[in-house]
Amino acid sequence: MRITVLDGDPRSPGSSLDRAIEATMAAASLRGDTCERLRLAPLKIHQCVGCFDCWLKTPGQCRLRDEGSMIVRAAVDSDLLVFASPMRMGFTSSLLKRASERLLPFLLPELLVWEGECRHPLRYGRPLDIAVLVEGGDSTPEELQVVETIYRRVAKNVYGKFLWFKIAEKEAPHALDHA
Amino acid sequence: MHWTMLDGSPRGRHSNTSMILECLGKGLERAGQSVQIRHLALSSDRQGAAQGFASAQRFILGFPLYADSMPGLVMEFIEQLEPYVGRAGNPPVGFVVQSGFPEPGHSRPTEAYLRLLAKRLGSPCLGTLVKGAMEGVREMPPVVTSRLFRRLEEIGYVLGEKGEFDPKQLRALCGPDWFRGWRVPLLHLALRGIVNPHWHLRQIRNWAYFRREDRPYEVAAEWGHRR
Repeated sequence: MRITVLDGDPRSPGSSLDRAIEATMAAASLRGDTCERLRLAPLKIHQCVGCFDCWLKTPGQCRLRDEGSMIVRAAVDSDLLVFASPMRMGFTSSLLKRASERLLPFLLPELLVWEGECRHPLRYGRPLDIAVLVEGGDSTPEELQVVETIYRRVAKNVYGKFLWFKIAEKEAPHALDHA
Repeated sequence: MHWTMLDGSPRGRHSNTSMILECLGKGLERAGQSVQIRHLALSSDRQGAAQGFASAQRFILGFPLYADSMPGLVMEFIEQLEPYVGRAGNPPVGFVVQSGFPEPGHSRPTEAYLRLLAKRLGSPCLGTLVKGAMEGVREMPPVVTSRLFRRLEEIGYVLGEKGEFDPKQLRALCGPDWFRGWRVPLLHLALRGIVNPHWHLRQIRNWAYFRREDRPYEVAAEWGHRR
């Protein structure tokens, strides 16, 4: 399994989230998975402006000339995408949010009905599994529940399985497995 | 009462969110309120926007649904509200969430988050206006949109009169969360007959129709090149 961790932590390394990401990657590597970490903080990733050029003018490619294309490349090149972020104001970081929106070229503009809901078809025809690793901070259980629900919907958008939602401070390193 | 509205659409002034806020603003003004609309995308000063929240009498935050929640720039703004968490005197807040999907159900988890956000801030929540099927509304002829605009203005008027969104009006505006029963064949028909051809037409205009299913990053992936 090819795994990419989208590390949406704007802080420098050393946090409990950082350690949890390392532990997750180490466990995955031991099992023989290919694992890569994409630190978003140093990357130049602009906000998606909703122009739809990636659907209407340059299909599959964003018009913004920045490092945001790495997000789609990571999605195309992975079986599992792990969204990792500290919780701020009861949600994942704006950095991770901005990056996840750049997945739009991963989809096609048309709408179809799938499991009773409208969805965009996949451009690359291959589903992508999703998992979430957060540093809970001062988040309430209700906030964590809502964030999990929202990322479950993100998994539906890419027709993949939602594998797990883990809180870095609460999980032992060996438990941060994708199995 | 003065209402501050923050348009969180990355498209700025010409967004569908901005259009909804303008309609609500007209209704609020008709009810004798004053309104100011600010556009988050037109300024990089998120701290200033957060101060705008703190000094507001009534605050409405509107945005489009991006990847099943708020756009990144709205989250940047929300992060800047951290110093105001639990502050006495935070203004009552209301929200507007619109999306291109025909079903408003896509926005419900985000609505749940916004309720918790208001609670975290210690601000009374005035409700969340959720509206689906908004993509392309700005380009539609007035004969199609005038009813929607009238209803939005009416919601704004009642908001000004009562001081909060009327749940009955919100429910009537957005309709059922998901298409079920007899609505499903109609949805299929609308997708095949209107929505998808609309996208194809726009692709044709841009000479991109025959490239519409291009997979520009696939070759690298097949050869195992990681970036």
